[in-house]
Amino acid sequence: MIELGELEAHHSEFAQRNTRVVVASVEGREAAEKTQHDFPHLTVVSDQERNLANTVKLIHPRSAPDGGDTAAPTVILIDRRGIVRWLFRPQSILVRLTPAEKLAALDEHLPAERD
Amino acid sequence: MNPGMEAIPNPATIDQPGPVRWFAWLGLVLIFFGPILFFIQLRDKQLVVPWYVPILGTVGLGLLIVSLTRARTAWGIAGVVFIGLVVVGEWYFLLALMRLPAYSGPVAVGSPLPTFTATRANGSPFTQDDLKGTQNTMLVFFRGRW
Repeated sequence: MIELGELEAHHSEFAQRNTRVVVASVEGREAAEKTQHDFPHLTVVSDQERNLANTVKLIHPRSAPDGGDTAAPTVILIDRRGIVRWLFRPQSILVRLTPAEKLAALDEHLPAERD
Repeated sequence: MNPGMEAIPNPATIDQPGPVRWFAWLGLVLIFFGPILFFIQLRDKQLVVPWYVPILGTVGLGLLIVSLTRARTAWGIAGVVFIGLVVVGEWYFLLALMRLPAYSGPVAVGSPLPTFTATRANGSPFTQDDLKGTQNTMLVFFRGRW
């Protein structure tokens, strides 16, 4: 949740780059509602059926504290036409990009799409 | 004891030489300092791999072993074995358990995301069509609320 807090805190910088932040996990809708309440400037998506995670092959088996599966931490940058422009997967589940690194990736891969 | 004879000191009761005791204490400090630093790292919201934890643990374990070679006790040996297992566990945790496989799925730069359906927090559907519009999207997958 540290990552989501950081994204929420920097939401205006993403908005200045004409970019919305969508955060997705395999948790249910109830958890998604709580997350949305905690981070109102993010778009929170519940993928409990794992349709999205299985489609993009992001399931990390037995990685939750209770032994369940989670979505592997991954960042995908998508332009206004729905085309993938960049994908990042850390080598360790302990690692996340900082907001500055995410914004730098935006500036690098979508520099002309702020308007 | 005969008069005139001096008691032979028991080696087990002789105080460890000064530097050896410092090795032991420094070793313990280093072993515990790593996890403390990690909590500080988390407090400061720095999400990086804490390699310093097993490194400090390994150095601390080495110092404990050095001190143990000068004055072996059963408790000391048991302590070193236990701490050794902890340090091995720290290395295994970071090198194996926390590793993520490289991405090998169908998402490719230059292509649209495959067709999918998920649900927004308000219950409305969220599909690949919602990624098109007037804004770019940074799609972040996170592990959960826990």
